[in-house]
Amino acid sequence: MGIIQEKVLPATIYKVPGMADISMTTVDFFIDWARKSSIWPLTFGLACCAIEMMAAYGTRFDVNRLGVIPRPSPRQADLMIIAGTVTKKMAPAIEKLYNQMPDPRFVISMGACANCGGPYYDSYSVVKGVDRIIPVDLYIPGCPPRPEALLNAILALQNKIDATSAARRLAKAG
Amino acid sequence: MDKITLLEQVRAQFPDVMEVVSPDPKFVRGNDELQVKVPSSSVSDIASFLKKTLKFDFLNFMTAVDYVKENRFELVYHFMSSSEPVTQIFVKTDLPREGEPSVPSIAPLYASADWQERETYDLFGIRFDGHPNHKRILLWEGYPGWPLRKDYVHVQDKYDNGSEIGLPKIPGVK
Repeated sequence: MGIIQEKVLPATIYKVPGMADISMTTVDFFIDWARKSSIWPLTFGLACCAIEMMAAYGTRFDVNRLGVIPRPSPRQADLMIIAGTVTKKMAPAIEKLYNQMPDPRFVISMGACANCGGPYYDSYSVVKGVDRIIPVDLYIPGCPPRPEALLNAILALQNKIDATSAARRLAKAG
Repeated sequence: MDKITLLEQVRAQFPDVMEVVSPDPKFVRGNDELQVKVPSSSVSDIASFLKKTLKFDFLNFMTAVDYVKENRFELVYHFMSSSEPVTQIFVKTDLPREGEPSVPSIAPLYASADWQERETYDLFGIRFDGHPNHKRILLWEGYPGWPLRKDYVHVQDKYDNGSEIGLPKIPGVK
């Protein structure tokens, strides 16, 4: 109820004598709020950026308070955090996992390696940026980025989801 | 066992073993490290002698070096003894670069040689005859070439050239 009283959602609260209050809002806003407040990332890390990602999951930075709960299955995940070097051997697996995620799905590319290949640009075994195999929503620079940067990316992703209304998406698709 | 006694014991069994002296004294760590050069055909015999008679029960590492100007590979084996860790022996052997260089495997003797020989095969293309599971370990099956050879030329694949997966070609990438 705190969210409604803070005017995050446009809602009307009806006082019913002798009963709990009833609040009414639009489904559109409610779905958007639910989507952005429960971004579940797929649990996997590829290289040293994963250590920073784990630190962000831990108690000091605690992305759990934003509703970010790591999920072990791509079928339950909304977000894929590419944390580390994408090797050519791993690329087919990332493509497959991305295709197994249900829509709407988002991708954060974390660190120099995932963004463009980074120090391994001239390597024989590294993909020159994960955006060569899957679409990316947000890029985090750094080698590796600090957990605050990942936290900021999740907040930016919430804004992006907020700006992308579910109803508008459905209307566009229809 | 000091270095001179060790060399005498090895040479009593294998007369064609030569001691290698490092040209630069700063690469010599101590007086207890023996470096010998052996013919490539007798590597597994010497390893068997070291393990069973002289109790060198631990293969610390093995790797290869590509001396492309001298047209040879050098294999380096580092044996240690857990009962007498001060004494260490480096066994080196030369292989020609032409054709398909091969050497007897010591994986049946030392379990730690199994993956290291596979890695050496993976990156240098040196075959280890008698290896129980002789295939690539890090790169995928069908990878063209041997990347750690000094004359390796990278073959472009679909992850190097974006135009093959519907992305603009990166300028400067051959």
